[in-house]
Amino acid sequence: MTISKDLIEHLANLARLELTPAEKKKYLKDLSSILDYVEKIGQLGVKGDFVLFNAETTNIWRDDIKEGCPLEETKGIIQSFPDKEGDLLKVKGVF
Amino acid sequence: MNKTSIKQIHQDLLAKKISCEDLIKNYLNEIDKLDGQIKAFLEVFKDEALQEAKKVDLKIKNGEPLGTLEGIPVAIKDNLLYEGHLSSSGSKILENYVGSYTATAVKKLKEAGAIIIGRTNMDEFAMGSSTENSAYGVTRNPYDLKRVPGGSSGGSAAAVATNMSVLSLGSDTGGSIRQPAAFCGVVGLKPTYGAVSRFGLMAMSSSLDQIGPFANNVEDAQILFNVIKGKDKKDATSKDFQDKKNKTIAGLKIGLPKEYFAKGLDKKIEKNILQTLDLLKKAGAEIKEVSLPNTEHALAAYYLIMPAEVSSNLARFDGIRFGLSLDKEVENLAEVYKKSRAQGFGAEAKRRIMLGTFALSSGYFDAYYKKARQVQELIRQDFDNVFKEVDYLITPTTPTTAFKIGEKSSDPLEMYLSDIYTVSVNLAGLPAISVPNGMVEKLPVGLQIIGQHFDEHNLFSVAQYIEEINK
Repeated sequence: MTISKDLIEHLANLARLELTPAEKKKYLKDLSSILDYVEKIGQLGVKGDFVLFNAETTNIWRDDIKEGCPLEETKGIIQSFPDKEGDLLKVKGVF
Repeated sequence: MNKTSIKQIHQDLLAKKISCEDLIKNYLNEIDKLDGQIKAFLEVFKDEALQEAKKVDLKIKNGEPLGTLEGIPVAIKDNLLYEGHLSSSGSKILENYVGSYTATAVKKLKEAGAIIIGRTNMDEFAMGSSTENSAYGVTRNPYDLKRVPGGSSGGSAAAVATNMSVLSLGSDTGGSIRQPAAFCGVVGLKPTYGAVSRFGLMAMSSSLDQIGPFANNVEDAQILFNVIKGKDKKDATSKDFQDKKNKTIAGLKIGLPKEYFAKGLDKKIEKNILQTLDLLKKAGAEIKEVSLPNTEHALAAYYLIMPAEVSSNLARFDGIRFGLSLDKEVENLAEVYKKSRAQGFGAEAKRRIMLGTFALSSGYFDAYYKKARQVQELIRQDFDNVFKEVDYLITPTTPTTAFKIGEKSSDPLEMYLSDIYTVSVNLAGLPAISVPNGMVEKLPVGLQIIGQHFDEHNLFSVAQYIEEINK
């Protein structure tokens, strides 16, 4: 399948990836050749419905009870914040 | 230093032939001596390992009972969380990331008394077949330093192959345990989907990922597997299971899928595998050619399903809550995402995110992702059908022996083809083991045995038999 530069830019935006012009060129080439390879499954005549789960799969339920998070774990998570104010995660504005 | 076994180490420890501290020192010395060249480890937990060893010595002195893996050094792949330790998944985006909890598999190792000796190099987020995609350099094949150790668990395979550790853990999404095990001449098991909890394993492709053992012999691999297996309420796909009834080699029905002995397979590897099959036949096994007709579509389906899940799983690396964040130099939230991801991810991760985003995007979903899932179902059915006729399938693990560093890194498709004999197993959720099966041109060959769901127990028996033949 032929992939356009526009499609590459669209995908990069959906994936929240900033690509350099050189990367765009590279992924255009790579994706085209990979898709040429995977496209052969499109020729396969598959009958029947789209089976999403095999028959053995069953739902696993648990009670809806709050378990909380151990203090040490909470500390570890907060320590990993790139930016914070006190124990609060600090992020940039949306716009 | 000679390769040994868990049982032998325990005998020596109990007979006071060696202290656990000296044992661990010996392995740390091996790492000092060899890892400058091999580069299997990203970090060695030296002081901690020695501290733990002293505790084991105290236990022995006091006559306390020893755990299944007491005092045994185990290396863990860098995508497994270990509380208070760095886990980078071979990626720049997690360069300084410290786990806030421990993966269930690692926790079980610790509970069994194992000593975690270090974390091993891998392809970034387990994406690759050569360990060349790590942000922290290339691991080398112990048999030929110009060649790759395989991947993505290349560091874990090389660490065991060089006896820098007795055991290691890896993860296998499309062959990432079996292929490096084959390239490095060690035993590697990809367990049944659901046999081992993935809680604390950084997800690559959640419907395919499994954690599994590397060891220098089948018995040790089985001991390690038995420690990590079983239900964990923190992974809903995991479950407890009973060992199936023992089977014997005499009367065993072994299938040879003809699609795995076709174009692309190195003739010398084919000969090597067929020789072993002859020996199995002499031992009373029945060898039968079988067909898995949808094999030719497996890799294509895999390279749609896996990147689709990768693009979702890697969305969590957004520069907001942890990992690399470029939030200082930018204007708004979208810029934080885009720039952090652009700088944090390597080329293969970006390629697969792009491919997965494509497969899931509006207008292409039906033609690609949905089709791939249908093919996955056909592949499952292929295996179900042959397992009505035979007990096991035997194939080469890889079409070639270890390739040269750089040989396939410029052509992603060429690299993907090295997983051709391993991906179907993940798509069908089956267990498979790679056992060393001699050498071709001074490089190890791996023989893959594929079993039925949750029949690891008998899979190990067949593997052990093959190990015996090869002695």
